[in-house]
Amino acid sequence: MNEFLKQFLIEGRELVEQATEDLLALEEAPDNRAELDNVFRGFHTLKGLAGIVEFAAMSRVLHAAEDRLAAVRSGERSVTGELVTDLLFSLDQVAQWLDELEREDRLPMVPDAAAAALVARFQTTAPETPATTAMVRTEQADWIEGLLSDHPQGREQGGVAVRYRPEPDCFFRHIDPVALIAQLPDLRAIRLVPNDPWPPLQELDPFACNLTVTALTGGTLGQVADQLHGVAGRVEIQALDPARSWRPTALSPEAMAILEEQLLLVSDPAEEGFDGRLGSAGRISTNVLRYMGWAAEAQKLQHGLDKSLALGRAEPFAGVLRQLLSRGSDEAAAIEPDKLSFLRSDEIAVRALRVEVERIDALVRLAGELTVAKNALGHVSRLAKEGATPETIATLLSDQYALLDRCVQQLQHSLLGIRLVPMRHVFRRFPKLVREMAAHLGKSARLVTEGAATEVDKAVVDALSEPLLHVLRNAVDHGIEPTMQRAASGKSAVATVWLRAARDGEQIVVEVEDDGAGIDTAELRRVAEARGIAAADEIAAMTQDEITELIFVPGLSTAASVSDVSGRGVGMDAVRSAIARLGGQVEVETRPGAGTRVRFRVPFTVLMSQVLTLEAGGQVFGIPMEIVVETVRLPRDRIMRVGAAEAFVLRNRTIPLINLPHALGLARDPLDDSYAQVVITAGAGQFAAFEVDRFGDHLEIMLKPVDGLLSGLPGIAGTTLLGDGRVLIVLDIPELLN
Amino acid sequence: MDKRILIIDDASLVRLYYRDALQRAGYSVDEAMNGLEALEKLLVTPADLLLVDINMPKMDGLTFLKSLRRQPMPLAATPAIVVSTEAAPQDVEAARRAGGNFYLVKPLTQDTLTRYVGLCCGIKS
Repeated sequence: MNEFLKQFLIEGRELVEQATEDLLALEEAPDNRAELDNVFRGFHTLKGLAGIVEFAAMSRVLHAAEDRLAAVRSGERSVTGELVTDLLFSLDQVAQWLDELEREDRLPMVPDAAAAALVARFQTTAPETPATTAMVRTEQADWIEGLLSDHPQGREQGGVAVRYRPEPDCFFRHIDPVALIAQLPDLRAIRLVPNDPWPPLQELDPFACNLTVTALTGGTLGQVADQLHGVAGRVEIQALDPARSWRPTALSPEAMAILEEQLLLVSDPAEEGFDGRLGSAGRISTNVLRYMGWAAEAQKLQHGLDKSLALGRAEPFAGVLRQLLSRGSDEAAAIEPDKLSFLRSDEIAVRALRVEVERIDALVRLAGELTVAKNALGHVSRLAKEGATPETIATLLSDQYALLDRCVQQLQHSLLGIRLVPMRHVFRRFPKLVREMAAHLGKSARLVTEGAATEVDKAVVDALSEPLLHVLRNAVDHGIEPTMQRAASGKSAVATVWLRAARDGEQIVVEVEDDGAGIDTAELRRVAEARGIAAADEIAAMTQDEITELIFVPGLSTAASVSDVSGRGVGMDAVRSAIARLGGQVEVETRPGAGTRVRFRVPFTVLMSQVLTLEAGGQVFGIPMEIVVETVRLPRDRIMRVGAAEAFVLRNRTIPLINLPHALGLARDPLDDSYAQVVITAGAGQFAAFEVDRFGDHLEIMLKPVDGLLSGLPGIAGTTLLGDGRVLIVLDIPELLN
Repeated sequence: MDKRILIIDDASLVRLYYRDALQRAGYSVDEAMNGLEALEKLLVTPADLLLVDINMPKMDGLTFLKSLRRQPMPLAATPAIVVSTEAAPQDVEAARRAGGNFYLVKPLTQDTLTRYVGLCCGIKS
């Protein structure tokens, strides 16, 4: 894939996501001008991207969408649910095209009819404007600048700039490129540039067209597009707005240097006097921009500064500044290749993490500190050679140890920071989904998301997507009542589903709440009894909470009907085990007639884990601390045989006992005859006890996922290196139990 | 244009050299011999830009910047260019940590000085 397509893929995806979000915000507030502008800008920019890579179908569809939005902006039309759905649909289509591009490594072939069908969605009255089929660029392009430098009157007079790149075999299609352009109305300038340098005369192929034609006309966009309709795929058209300031100068290296320094200055919010730093950086940056003639940008930055000062943090000021810097460097053509490759990595968007500059800076600083610590160790070893006393060496070493320890901790912290992504990444697809599911079931529901900015480890965010989808489906399918029933119970016709995320210490709490009917516990009792989940008297004795817990029992469903949205109350047991795999818990709360809330508690990051080390069969293993309930020294006479298995009763609870060395296929060490060392775990909703040889330490480790040969083995959660160089295998207890 | 620059340097020759360049470029210029004097002056009359030397008696440039940034706004937000003979990365870093907006290394021609001051004040001379 060439660079353009790669960049197109990355930016396209971001824009689709952003536009989706903006669109949903617009639906919430249809009269909000700013939201409308956001949506319009999103479609407009996407269309521009499509034009650059010459993806005609996408341009066409987005152009039609943009026309509709323009009509809304001018007040001819209003924002309707139907329009939002159509726009969402077109974004969805674009997203699919982008996926195809990534998969197939080339632009998708979209049949004309398919594109036309999409376009038709936006054309209730107005016919497709001729410009639709032309590639319309949005950004000021080099060729326009070239044209205007030859014909500066275009800057003041405005008009339309045209670039036509005829196909090499155009002569055989009865096309005369120059004549075609010469026919444009009110032609003011024409420029002919060879695509490749002219070859020596004897090698020249007079039948192949080697020209690019650029022109400046006083006609309208529509006239020009009409005229060039026949060669639409090869033409770019740009209206020149005389009011628009054509940026006179690129940022000078000095200006860039000053701006970069301001970014660094505000990037360390921990420093004292942050307001002063921010304020002074703001004053200098806006002054530099004004000096360079970037007045509009200076104003934009000033807005960012005002917001940042009010919030007391670097964003959004730093963000705007970064943006200006990257643009400044683009325009100054002074791009440092290294910097660029960092931003535009070869990875495709999904697998690439965008990392903020300050996070990288923090790492660079740490690398510096680590170097200092390393050098100090060399110094200590020299002192030792020169015969320094052991006390001196010990003191120096322990100082260095403290320094290194701090550095390593910061390094871990910074690396974790890089992996953090906002929950928005998983949240943003849900509003559309909830709407579609509800519509499919003849209900109406809206999703309200809160805390989408909460940052979570990327692995956790990814792993939450599937369980959340299950729970949302359940909420829409089983939680929310049909519209009629809602009306009867005095509820608003449109049901609300809340999706919230919040940080709670080292955990992330994510919850899905609906204002539906709540779980029918009477029905649940009946089904549980009918299915023989428990005896009738036991069920009768259960509290509401205990009954609610029954939804996690595999295969139990209370859904009165089966739908193709969620099937039979799709496996809350699957949800619970998915969350348990993340080291988290699921809680359910329900109020009859008022709604249900499902809450996930998951660790903020999966990277750092607390493990308990233990010996089994002469080997050391780790088990995640979060599933350890307690360790017990159990008299052997309390162990009962249950068929082929063993169990014991602890505080009125029967707990199955598994001999860990045995389960792992390891030779058993001679064991204590009278007592068994037992660790009791709670994972995936069940208690289990493991007999081990002895217990070790409680460690905080960075768990590495298993790869290579080990990855095929079940029951291994990951590995880490111990201080003495041995590999510690951390067991995946829930998987072992299966 | 009436932009006011405060030169903070203990060497009178340096102050004279800067003052000459800046006044010819149309700035109004004030001087302080050390950080303490600069703070006293700023509390009375604010400036649009500070040129701060690092090594000065009584109160050095870094201490001055740190205390400046802790002053109430808008005084704390006064832009400051550090001008020093030291050019090592750790010196630049120290100046940034103290709250300096930009770092120029002495010796400095009058042209360079006015160009940077112009950029930082948003004024083309």
